[in-house]
Amino acid sequence: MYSNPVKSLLLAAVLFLITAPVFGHGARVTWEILGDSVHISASFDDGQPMDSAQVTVFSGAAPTVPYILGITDDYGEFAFVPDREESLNWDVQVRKAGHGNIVHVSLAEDSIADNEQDRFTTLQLVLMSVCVVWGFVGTAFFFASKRKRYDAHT
Amino acid sequence: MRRMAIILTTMLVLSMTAVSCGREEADQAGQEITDENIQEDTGELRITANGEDFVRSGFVSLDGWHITFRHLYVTITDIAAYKTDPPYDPHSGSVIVGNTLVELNGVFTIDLAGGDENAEPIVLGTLDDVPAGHYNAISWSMVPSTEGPSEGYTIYLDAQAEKGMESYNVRLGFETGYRYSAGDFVGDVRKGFVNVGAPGELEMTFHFDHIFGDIEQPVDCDLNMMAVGFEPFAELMQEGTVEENLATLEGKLPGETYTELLEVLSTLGHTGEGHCHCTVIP
Repeated sequence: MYSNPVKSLLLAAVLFLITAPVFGHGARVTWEILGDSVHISASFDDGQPMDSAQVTVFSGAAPTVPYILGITDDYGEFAFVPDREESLNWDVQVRKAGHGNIVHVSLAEDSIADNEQDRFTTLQLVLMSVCVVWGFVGTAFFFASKRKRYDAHT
Repeated sequence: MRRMAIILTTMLVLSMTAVSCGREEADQAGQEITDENIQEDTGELRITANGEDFVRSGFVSLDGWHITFRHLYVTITDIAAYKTDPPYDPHSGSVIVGNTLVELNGVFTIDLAGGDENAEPIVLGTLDDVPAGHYNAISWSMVPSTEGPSEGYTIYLDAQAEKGMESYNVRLGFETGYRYSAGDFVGDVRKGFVNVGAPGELEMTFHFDHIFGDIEQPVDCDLNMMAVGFEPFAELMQEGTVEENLATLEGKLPGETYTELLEVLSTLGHTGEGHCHCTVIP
């Protein structure tokens, strides 16, 4: 039986999607430093932005006392300028309609670098790159096999 | 050619699996228990469980059934509180690895419906002399009870469901066990801070509106979109009573509804509004 590499690759991708971790409903909150400010982005697990969500910012110097209160914009985003003399550690809680999450923001240089890399680990980045290359290889085999069959036929 | 395809496919599956596991490895790598993390000061950490107001005072499901709970038993065990740095993210899907780990031993069957709407969360126990600091993660298991009215069930609810002229006794038991891992408490106040002379508290919160939905929320909100509602259970009524468990529901509910019920049961555990990573205990 002839096995098409492209079909095999697609099957593998489907298998991956079936076995990948599934997250229930919930809230995702990410942060990044832009200039002097901390930008917060909040969304539900389905990707919808948490617009008009309640935001509470806590300083590491007094972590149980709200330091800033606010709400997210239509895109689920919120920004604040932390007082670095107050603390280099901040917690930001975002809540809406029974969903919520809290993230720790560290203004220490190494933590900022860690956060930048937080979306994917080095291992993940390398392997994802390899996957993309294999995708091209599979496609090349597909066309190569078609050409071979065409040449044999003619 | 075929051999090449098999090799490519195998390598791709392995790499994708490694990608999904990579985050877990990374999360665990940076967190080790060291002597310098052990603090000299100690305090008390109280562990509580909370079914929230709508379990104690009743609520209306997404399909209009007013549900009031006489009892809602859950059985909890393997409770552990952690200090984690960086903070544990339940979306990572990893297990919690903390700098400090303290455990509350025992198996606790509690009635989340006890008390009125203003009742305080149920205290399962207090850990004395735990290292001071911020306990920002908690994990626990829900297992079938071995005694009492909820024997054999992880969750057992005894309720009354009313809609118009209809009024049914409802007794539902769920046998499946779950392991929940949660990060920092999300709510009106912050929790988990243990100081000398000032006890800390961590809360396991259970959102039972996930099963039945909430008519006060938009019909297309995430909560109601994933909820089963009460109507599928009402259709199983016999002589004014709905009395089922997962084993019987598997054969009586439409397949899609039963699958939705299994999925929603795994989302009940929270800490405040903070969500958990959940694994089913085989």
